[in-house]
Amino acid sequence: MMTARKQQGILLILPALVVMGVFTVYPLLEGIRIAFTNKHFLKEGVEFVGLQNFIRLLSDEIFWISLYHSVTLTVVVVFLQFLFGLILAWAMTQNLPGMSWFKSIIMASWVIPVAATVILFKFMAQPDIGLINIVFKTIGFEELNRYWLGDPEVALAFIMLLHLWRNVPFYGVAFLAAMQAIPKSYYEAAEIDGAGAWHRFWYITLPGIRNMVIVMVTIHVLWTFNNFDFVYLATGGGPVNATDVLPVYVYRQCWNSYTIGYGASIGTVMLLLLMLYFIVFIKLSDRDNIS
Amino acid sequence: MSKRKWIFIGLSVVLLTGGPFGLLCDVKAEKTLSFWNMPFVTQEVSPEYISNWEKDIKNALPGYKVDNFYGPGKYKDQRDKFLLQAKSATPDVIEGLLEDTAVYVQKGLIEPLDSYFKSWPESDQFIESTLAPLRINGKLYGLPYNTNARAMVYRKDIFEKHDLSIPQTWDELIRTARKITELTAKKTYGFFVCTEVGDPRAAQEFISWYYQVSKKKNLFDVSSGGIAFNGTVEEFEKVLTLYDELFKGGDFPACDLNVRGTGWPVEDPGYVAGKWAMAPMGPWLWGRRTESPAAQDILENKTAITRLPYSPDGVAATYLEVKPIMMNAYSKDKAGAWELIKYIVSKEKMAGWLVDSGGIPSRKDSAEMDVFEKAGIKWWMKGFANELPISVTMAPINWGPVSEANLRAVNYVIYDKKTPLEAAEWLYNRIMELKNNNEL
Repeated sequence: MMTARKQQGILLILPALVVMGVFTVYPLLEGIRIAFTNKHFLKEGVEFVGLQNFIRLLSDEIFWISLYHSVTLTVVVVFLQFLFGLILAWAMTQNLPGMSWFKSIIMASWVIPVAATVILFKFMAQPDIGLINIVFKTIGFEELNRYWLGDPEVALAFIMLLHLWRNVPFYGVAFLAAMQAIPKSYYEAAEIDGAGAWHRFWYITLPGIRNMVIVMVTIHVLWTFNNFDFVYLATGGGPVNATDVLPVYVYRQCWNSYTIGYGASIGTVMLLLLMLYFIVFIKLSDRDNIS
Repeated sequence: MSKRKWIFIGLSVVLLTGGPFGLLCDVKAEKTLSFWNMPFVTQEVSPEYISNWEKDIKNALPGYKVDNFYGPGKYKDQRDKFLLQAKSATPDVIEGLLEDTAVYVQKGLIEPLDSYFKSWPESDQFIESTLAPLRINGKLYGLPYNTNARAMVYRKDIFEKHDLSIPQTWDELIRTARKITELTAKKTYGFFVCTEVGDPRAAQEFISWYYQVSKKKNLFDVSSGGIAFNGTVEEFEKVLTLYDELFKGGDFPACDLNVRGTGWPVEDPGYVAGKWAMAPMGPWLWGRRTESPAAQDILENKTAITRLPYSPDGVAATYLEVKPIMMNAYSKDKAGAWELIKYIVSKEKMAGWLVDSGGIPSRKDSAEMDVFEKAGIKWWMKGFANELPISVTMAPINWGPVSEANLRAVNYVIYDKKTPLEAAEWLYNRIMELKNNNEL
C-alpha cells in the first residue's frame, strides 16, 4: 500500500514523466520501429522490412565515411577541448592583470548563437577578403590563401576549430569551478612536503577535478557525436563528403531522399554506438572509483 | 490526496490550457490567408513592390487579411516545411519551383485547379506552353506566373575591350573563359557555374548541359507504366568533362577554384560585383540592379545575353523554368485562396512583379503591356525569351535525390576525386539504385 508521501512524490514527478514520455521516449521507440520499415515520405503504405536497411548500411560508402568523420571529430575535439579547457582554467587561477574582465567575457562564444558563429567563421574563411587569409597574406604566406571550408583537405579541421572556439571556454569555466572547490590546505601541505608545481597539479588538481572531467567529457562526447548544426550550416557535409557526419547524413536521407526508414536506421546505429560508449565509460569510471 | 486538491489541480490544468486557446480562437476569427513565396523574402522583388502589393491587396480582397510572413525564404526549406505542415492549412497559397510541384502532387498536398481555371474568363490569356508542365496526370496543379529559359549573361564591355568572340560551343567557352581570367589577372574570372550539392540552380544548370548532349531527350520519361531512365554513362561523361575542364587550366582556369561547391548565393552577387564575366542565368538577375551603383551599371550598361554554349556533338538546348502558384489542398478557405491566386497572376500584378524582378510573363496580355518598354527591360526579357523555343522542361519526378547525385558526381570531378568517366559510372549506378529502390 502506497503511503501518502510516496503518492505525493509520484504526483509531483508525474508531469515531468509525461513530458519525457511524450517528447523523448515515444520518439525514440518510434524511430527505432521506423528503422525496420521502408517508410518513405512521399509514398503511402509502410512495410516491415526487417534488417534490410541495416544490411544496406554495410555497403553504403557514405555511411562509413560519415561514421569515420563523426568518430574522428568527437575524439579529437573532446580531447582538445579538455586539454585547452584545462590550460584555460589554470590560467584563470593565476593573478594576472585583467583576469576578472577576461573571466566575465570568456563565455561570449557560448552565448553567441551557433548560426551567427558559423556565418562569422565562413566570412573569416573567405579567399582574399577573409580575416584568416588577410593575416596569412600579411605575414608572407600568400600561397595559403583559399576558401578554407571549400578545401577537402582542411575543411574538417576547420569544423573542429569551430567546436573548439565555442566549447573551450565552457570547459575552462567548469574546470575553474572544480579547481576552486579543492581545499587550499592540500596545496599547502604538498608544498611543505616539497612537491613541485607539476606534482601538485598531477596529484592534487587533476584528481580534485575528476568528477567534473567525467561530466564534461560524457556530455561533450554525446553533444559532439550528435552535432548537426555546425557541419550543416558551414559545409552541408561537403566538399565531396569531406565533412560528412552521421547527423547530417541522417538529415539528407530524410529530407533530400525522403527515405525515412533508412534515415531512422542510421539514427538507430548512432544510438547503439553512444549507448555502448556510455556503458563502457560508466563501468570504467565505477571500477576506478572502487579501486 | 484530498478531493479539494484534485479539484484544484484539475481547474489549474483547464485554465492554463483553455485560456490561451480561447484567446487564440478569438484572434483567428478574422479571415486570413497566407502566401509563401521565396522572391518576397529574398527581395528578388524590391521592398517597394511588396509594399504596394500589400496595399493593393486590401482593395482587391476586401474581407481578407494576407499574412506578411512569406515563408522560410529558401526553396528547399519552404518545400520541407510545406511537406510537413500543409495539412495544418498553412499556407493557403504557395509559390515554388516546377520540381516542387511533382513532389507535392505525389503527397496529395496541392489542389487541382482545372474547375477554377475553366470558369475564369481570363484563362485564355495564359500561354499554353507554360501551362503544360503544370499538368500532371491530366490535371492542372498550378498557375504559372513566371517563365524563363536558361541563357548566358556576359560582360560585353570585357569582350569589346579585349576583342573576344562570343563562345558558341563548350570548347570556345572554356578557351574564352580562361583567356578572360588571364587578361584580367584573375580580377574577373571567365565563367561561373553552380556546383553546390543541394543548390536548385546547380541542378538546373547541370540539366541544361545534359539536354544538349542528349539532344533534348529528357533524363526520365514518366508514363502510366512507370518511370523510364534514359541517361547513359557516355552522356554523363561528356557533361562531367565540361565541369572538369572549367576548373582546370593551370594558373588561369575558367572558374575560380575557391568557389567550387557554391551555388546561386555566390553566382548572382558575384556577377553583379564583376567577379565573373559569364554565367548561366535567368531573368531574375535584373532585380539585383538595386544592390549597388556598380550592380546597376553592370546590368543596365555592360551586360548582354546570348545562348548557352553547347556541346559540339550535341544540340542547342536549355532548361525551361516555369514557376507556379499553387493552392494548398488542405486550405480552409479555397474560395479565398483562389481569389488570392487570381490576384497574384492578374495581368497588372504579374507584369508589375516581373518588371521589378525580371522575368517573362506567362500571360499574353501581361507580356504586351508597355511597362516593360518604359522600364527599359524589354531587351532583357527578349534575351531570355529567345531561348524558349530550345528549352526543355524537367519530368515530374522527385528530383531531390537525383539532383543530389548529379551534383555529387560534379563534385567528385571538380575536386579530382574521380575522373569524369568514373564519376559518370558512379552517377549512372546511383540513379539506377534510386530507380530500383522506388525513390523517384
